Amino acid sequence: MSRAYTGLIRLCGIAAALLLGVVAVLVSFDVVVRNIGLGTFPWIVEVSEYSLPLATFLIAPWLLHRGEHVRIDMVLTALPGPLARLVARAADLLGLAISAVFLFYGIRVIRDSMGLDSLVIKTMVFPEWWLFLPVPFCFALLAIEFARRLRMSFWP
Amino acid sequence: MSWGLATIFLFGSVVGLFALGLPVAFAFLGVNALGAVIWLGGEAGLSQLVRNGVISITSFSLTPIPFFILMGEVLLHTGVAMKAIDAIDRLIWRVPGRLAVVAVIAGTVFSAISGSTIATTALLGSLLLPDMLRRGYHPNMAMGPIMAIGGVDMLIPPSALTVLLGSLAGISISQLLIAGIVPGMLLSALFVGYIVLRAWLDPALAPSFEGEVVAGWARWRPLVVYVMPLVLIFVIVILAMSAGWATPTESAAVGAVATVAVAWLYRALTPDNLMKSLMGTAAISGIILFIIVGATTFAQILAFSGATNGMVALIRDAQISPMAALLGMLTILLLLGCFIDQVSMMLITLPFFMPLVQLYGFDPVWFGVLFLICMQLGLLTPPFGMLLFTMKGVAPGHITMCQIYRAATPYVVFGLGLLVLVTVWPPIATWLPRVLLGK
Amino acid sequence: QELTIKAVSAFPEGTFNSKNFESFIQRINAAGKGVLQINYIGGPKAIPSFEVGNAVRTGVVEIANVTGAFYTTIMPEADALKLAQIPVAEQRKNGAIEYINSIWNAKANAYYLARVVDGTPFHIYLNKPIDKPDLKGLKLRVTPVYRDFFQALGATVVQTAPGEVYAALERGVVDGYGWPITGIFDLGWHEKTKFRVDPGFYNAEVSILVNLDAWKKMTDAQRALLQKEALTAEAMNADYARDIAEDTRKQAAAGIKTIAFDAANTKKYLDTAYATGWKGVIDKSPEHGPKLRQLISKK
Ligand code: NA
Ligand code: NA
Repeated sequence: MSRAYTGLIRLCGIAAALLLGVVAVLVSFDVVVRNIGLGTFPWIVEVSEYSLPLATFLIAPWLLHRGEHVRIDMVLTALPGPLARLVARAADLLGLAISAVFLFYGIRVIRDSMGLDSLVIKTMVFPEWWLFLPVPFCFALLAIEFARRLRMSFWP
Repeated sequence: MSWGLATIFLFGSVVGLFALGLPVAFAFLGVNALGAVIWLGGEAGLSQLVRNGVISITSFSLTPIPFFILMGEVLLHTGVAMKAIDAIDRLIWRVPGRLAVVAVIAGTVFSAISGSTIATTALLGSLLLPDMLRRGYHPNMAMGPIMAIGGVDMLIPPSALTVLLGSLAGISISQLLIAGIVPGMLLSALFVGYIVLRAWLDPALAPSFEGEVVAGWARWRPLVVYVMPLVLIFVIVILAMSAGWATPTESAAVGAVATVAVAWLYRALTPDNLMKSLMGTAAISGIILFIIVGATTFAQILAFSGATNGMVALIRDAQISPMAALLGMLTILLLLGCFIDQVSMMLITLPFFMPLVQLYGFDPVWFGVLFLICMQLGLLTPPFGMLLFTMKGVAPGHITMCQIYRAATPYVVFGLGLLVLVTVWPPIATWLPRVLLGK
Repeated sequence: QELTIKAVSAFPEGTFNSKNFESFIQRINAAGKGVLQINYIGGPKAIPSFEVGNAVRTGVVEIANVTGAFYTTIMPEADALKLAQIPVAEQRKNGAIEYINSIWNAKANAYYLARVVDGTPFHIYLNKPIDKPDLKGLKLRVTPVYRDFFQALGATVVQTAPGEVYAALERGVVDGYGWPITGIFDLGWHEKTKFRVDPGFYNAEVSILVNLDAWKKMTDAQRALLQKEALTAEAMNADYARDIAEDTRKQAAAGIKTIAFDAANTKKYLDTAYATGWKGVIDKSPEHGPKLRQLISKK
């Protein structure tokens, strides 16, 4: 179970990495094609915009798992051991709660948008809820990660 | 809730959550969720918060961030960067703290390509920092200059933030861009002087690491061979922009692809190190963008709570002398800079500040440069500083946030010095645009 | 029972597109003591421009100043308002506003209160001259408002962040852009612009929307106050003539030359603009598009 979870979040991270690489190639391709007069692919600009939130939400759980999200550790390192552990647990608990809130309202935004049949109408036309799909997915994984950290702190 | 109470509540709870060691992005999201319930009307507000969060990073103007990071990561993981640094190093090996000096000079040059301060810091950080630490540089000496130069980037054109400031504030953009050059160069010269002096006084900060002294062609050959790829990439990026082939954002992507191509030409590219570079890019971009999600929505909550309008009205309604008003405005900017990002700083304050600038008859270009310096300082002031966080993103795991704050401190002092200097002696900012553009 | 409602604008405070709305708020707050007060939160610092429509729909804010292009996601019909060829006062008389309001009620949960930017045309601004309505070989920076039109004229369209237009013009990444007759000075673009194509096309639109639930809950006195000041605001649209004249003069003073076509080409130019504009609307809303076209086009 734990292996499957770690494998999944790592896979998401790799997907984010490949996505950003592909976007860099696409944007360069658009520049070249436009300048040799072969027209332009306006959808590439839009894809590059959408790739930012997608990549960010895809890799966020992997970053949390590896402890790479920026945190300010001044207070924690100054506290005595037992107290620091308590504070760390409180932080994980809060993280879990915050992730749960965004999971819940992420789903809500998607349901709301589906109900309205909202469409993003730019060069590409697609259902608006696609944009928000990564949110509940990401925060579900983040919630699991915070829960795992809590469990590990009690039963290492 | 009165705006004063709201201000204390919002800033207080963010700082409190920071102190618990909750990741910065989550601290913001947590406070934002509370704020949405209070000021955005409960459930609808929380849904709006989710939407605003996604929108905040769905922006073409943020795409240079991953592209510039990719440039740095590829140069780093393929070893192309290391060889180039060695080569430059051989040339200026007599200069104390030379890698730090290289960082400042390379950063100043790079500022002329990059429109994004975060991207510059990320690039230089992933490029130079591991090498400096490996060579035994003190973390302060290794990280400080890189972060400091990221801020200078904002003053030296092209600069996305300067253009944004000009258009939001109604200040001539071309004048503002040019006005930033002298203060920017002055600052980077001060940095070089400071680094050399520190390293000369205390050689342990930046150990010299080369025994053999090479001369003649042996000294120059590596420069030609190993610095060429960097020059090539630089030329491609500059050409793409100046020949009108690509927007600044697009040229960042072109630069990233060119870097991969050059690494391949130098037979330094392997599937393995390409994947490592891409993973590193996604990780650093993810860290930065996730914080931007939290910080942007925090600024929105701040606006809804009445805190921002209240703070600025305080100055507007106080009947004070022009100089006191100016100091008040700069103080607000410096305080806001400790907590929020630069775009939000502009959106929040400009609608109130620009009428005051007009009322008191300040030179808008001069005020614009002061505003830029305050924003540049905001990138480096704790607890919330985008460049501090960017550095944390690229630095090895054992570096603590505290060390990063310490490393940035001297450069914050220099920035404040520059702020005072430009305030009392405006020509530093206004002379060059006057000479170049007339008026 | 004084009611306080929250307001936002999709445009920065104090700018051209927010002015009329802001003076509307001032008048309400002056006249509405004890009845209705508006708490103006501000511009995009509070709600991102493209989310303002949604914020009104869900009631995060009760009233907002926003243009249709910013909320086509919720209702594609919002894009049609830019195609109006008759002023809003006339739209009130011929039943157009009533029809618009019924669509806005149903689709955006919003009461269509007033149009506060009206009669301000868009133009094509160029750095290379043209002598007929043909943009082949030119790269133009677009927003969704006129992308279809520019493409129909053969342009290569480029999308950029607003902050990059200046640099893109400076370096020739784009040869021009579309924008209303007013506002290029706010953005500094006049420094990098050589020509303006006349005549203008379309009709820049910014309107005040009220959340429908909030509207229904208001007392008659509150609604009457809003409606009275809404009409005053619409009457003030006449003042834009002065802004337009002023900006036209300033553009000439800044060295921006005008490009005009002969009568046949002018007709072709405008016909293409409106034909592509309406095609875009009707394709996405076969239900309301044709009726809207009939109501707000010139007879
Ligand atoms: Na720069
Ligand atoms: Na700061």
